Amino acid sequence: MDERSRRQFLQSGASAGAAAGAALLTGCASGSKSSLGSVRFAFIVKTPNSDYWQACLTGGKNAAKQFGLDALQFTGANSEANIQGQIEIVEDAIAKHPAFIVLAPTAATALVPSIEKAHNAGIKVVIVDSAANTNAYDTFLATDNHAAGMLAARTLAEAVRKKTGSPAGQIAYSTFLSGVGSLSLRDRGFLDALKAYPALQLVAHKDAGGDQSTKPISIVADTLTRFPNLVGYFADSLITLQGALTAFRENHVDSKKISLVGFDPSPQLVRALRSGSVDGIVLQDPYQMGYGGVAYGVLAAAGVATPKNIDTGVVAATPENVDAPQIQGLLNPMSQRHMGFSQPA
Amino acid sequence: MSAAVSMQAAIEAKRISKRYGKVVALEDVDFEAYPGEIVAVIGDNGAGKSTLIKILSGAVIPDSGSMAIAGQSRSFSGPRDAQRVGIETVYQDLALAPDLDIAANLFLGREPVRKGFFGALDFFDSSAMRLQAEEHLRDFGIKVSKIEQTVDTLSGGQRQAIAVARSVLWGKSVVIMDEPTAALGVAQSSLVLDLMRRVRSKGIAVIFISHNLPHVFETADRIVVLRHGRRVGSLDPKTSTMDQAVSLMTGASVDTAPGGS
Amino acid sequence: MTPSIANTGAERGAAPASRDDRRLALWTAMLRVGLLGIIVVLFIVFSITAQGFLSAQNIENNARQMAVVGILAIGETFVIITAGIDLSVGSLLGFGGILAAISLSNDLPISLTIAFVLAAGLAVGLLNGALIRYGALPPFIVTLGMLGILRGLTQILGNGQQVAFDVPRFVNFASDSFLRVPNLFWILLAAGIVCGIFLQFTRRGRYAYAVGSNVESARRAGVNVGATLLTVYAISGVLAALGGLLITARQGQGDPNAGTGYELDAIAAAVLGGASLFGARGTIAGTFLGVLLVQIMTNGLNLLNFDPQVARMLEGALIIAFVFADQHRKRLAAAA
Repeated sequence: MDERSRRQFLQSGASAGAAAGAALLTGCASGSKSSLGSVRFAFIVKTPNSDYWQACLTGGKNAAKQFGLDALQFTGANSEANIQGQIEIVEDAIAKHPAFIVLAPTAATALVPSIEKAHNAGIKVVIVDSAANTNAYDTFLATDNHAAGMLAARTLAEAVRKKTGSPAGQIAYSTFLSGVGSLSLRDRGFLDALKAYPALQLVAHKDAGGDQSTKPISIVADTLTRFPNLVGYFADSLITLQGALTAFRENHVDSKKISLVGFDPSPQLVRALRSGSVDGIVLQDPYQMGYGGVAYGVLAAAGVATPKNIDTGVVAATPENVDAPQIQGLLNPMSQRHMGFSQPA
Repeated sequence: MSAAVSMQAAIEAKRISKRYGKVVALEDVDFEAYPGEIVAVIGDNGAGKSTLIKILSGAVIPDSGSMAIAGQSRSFSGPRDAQRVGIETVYQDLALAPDLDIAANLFLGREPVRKGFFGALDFFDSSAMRLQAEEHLRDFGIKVSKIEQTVDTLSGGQRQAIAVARSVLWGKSVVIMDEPTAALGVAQSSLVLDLMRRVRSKGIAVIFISHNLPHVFETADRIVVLRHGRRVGSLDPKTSTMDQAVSLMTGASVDTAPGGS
Repeated sequence: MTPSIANTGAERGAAPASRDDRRLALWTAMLRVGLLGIIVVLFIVFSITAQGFLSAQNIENNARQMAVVGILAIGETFVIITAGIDLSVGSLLGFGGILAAISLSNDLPISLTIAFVLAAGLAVGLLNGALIRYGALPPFIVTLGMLGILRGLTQILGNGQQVAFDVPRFVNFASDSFLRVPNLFWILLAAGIVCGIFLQFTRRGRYAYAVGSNVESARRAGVNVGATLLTVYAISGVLAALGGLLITARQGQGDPNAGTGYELDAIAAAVLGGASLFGARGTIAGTFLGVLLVQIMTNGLNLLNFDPQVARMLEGALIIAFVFADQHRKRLAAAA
């Protein structure tokens, strides 16, 4: 982890802790926990169907437990690509008029009308993970995806340098679904940082079209066929990284020659990281997004002016640092993390 | 060539009754058909013709009455029981599988399996089926261009012929036909009626329902008339007229002595 | 007089071949060579234009990638032949896949896992068949319901997450080859040959066509319709579960979203291969070609750096074109 991202990480951790502390204080000042218990909120991620979003949900649930809040729901659509499904969930939540909504929008533009509707109805809106093209929200907690994409590029370049002696050669990358705000930013960050490595030549960019099954595999396999001299591959999400890993395995890719870097961990990917089949996994902090999302929601609902944008930070896990405590904390986000204040019994 | 007195009936039903709720479909009906005769069942709509042949073919179970096949007392619990003792039925819709070829239709549900290992695996013997089918059709003078033709490429008369051929292939004693000429034109009807005579010549009892009195009088050896679920008469087409048949069917002035009761 | 039913046919046959007859022959010939012809043309075009298309690695990739959908499509072909449809195969694949992952993550042996998952597929297939036959429900409704039930159950079983396991032997099977042909493709080939023989040469296979042609006729002819429907849905279920085992081996983890939408890919392949949703038409060989066509098209366009969605659009257009041609041929045949 470089110094900049460490600083970001610590800062954001501290800010979420502070927000949570403030929220608790608000609760105490008003005399009893029950007043906070009457604060109802909805927590809507893209889909509950992944480790990443489960970590985010766990953060939100832990916060709700600690603050004694009354959650209407912790939910999401059945897939990250089901934009309409998420819109319906948000509309239903607005109808129940909670104090605040924590939302990870599946699409940057499609959710805007719903977000503005909530905002206009006096519901505080905390957006997490992915941006929405509107100003009608109170706080946005997310990975700085552009910075994260840059980190991925640097990690890939470093891995290529280690294997071939210099950061040079053909590289390619795959996107899970084009048009998703967070992924576009990552990709742009990746491309921007690549400019520092003119000898790395980008030869292909593939879109898995939101397919969660085998397209993320086949697009990488076909790229390996088309460009047999590839030295590096970047996958901008969990699904595409897993697909790339499978394609590498099936095509008997020599991991001493081609480097693979991508986003978000899973047990299989962490094993691959240890064995050297994956060279870097950019880790976000979905737990903190969930926890902080609820904490800032409480603050906003209490009338506190909250910061508009909060970066929850990223680090790159590599075969070398995978056992460091900080990396382990992010790799196992389901373990209740110590957030800088005492957990309730 | 009506039934000889000494002959045993191919199928005989006694005092058959069937009700659907309060509606009496058949009441105390006796019916018999002898080997090598064509019996027509006529009657107005609702007279009980369909119910009678469904009972004979095992598709409907009577409330009371008894049946005997070649002198043996039988009761059917389904069409398969009737098929097992050599009674086959040609339904008005023919019950053919239009997308299967002619041989497949002739043997549908009763395909011969191959001998040995493959037979144990339920493999049917397609060459035996084709050969038997060709021989059988030739036997009845039914000509088709190819035995591998699917049934949906055949004309209406050809399909009717295939359905009859199938029933004869399996109906060793009785073939029952529901309105065999209803959907056919003049030329094709006469082909089917000829086919029925050929079936008769094999010593099989042919029973058919028809609304078409000229066809009935042209083909049948004996005519059984039903009205309101009762058997109201039995006519010899050689000695009776169509007017007499209509009178019996409709219950108008009866100026002929009924042959049965 | 000898009744000659052929007279009517002969009358027509005596007439000189009409324009319609020639058109019918043309359409029939086109359909006969159509699918294989398109595959051959695509193969030639991609061999020339797409770098790496003919490489051993790419052929191996194609063989591997078509395996899972191919296996589903074989099962779907059986069901479609009976004029039914099985929308539950994608969900059942996901369900089987997650069961396999859970079983392996609990250190159950591979053999037991396989037996257990295939048995689950068999049970679901039999349930589908029983509801359709004995519950007298439309196949579309029963399997649509099952699609939802199984996907929900899969998400619950996996707790909405991917299920990790560490059984290299199981995972390696999916990426390994035998005689330079991927194991996955061998499985597809074996399933295709066994099912193809069953469908064409056994009585129960023939009854699938009879039921699809006219269920009432089949019943009256003495075909056991219930047993036939149970058989086809059971085959579809077992093959979907097999697909689940393979996809879990391939991905190296149980994915609760695996197989989402695959039912449509399987139906599309069967239809491209000549199966009719009205029943009684379809062959395993045709379905295999349907899967092959989609695979080659997707792969070749991918290698040519087309947007992967282009392949999807072309697949859709081809389905419509093929069914149109088939219907047109039928109309000509009926008019002839």
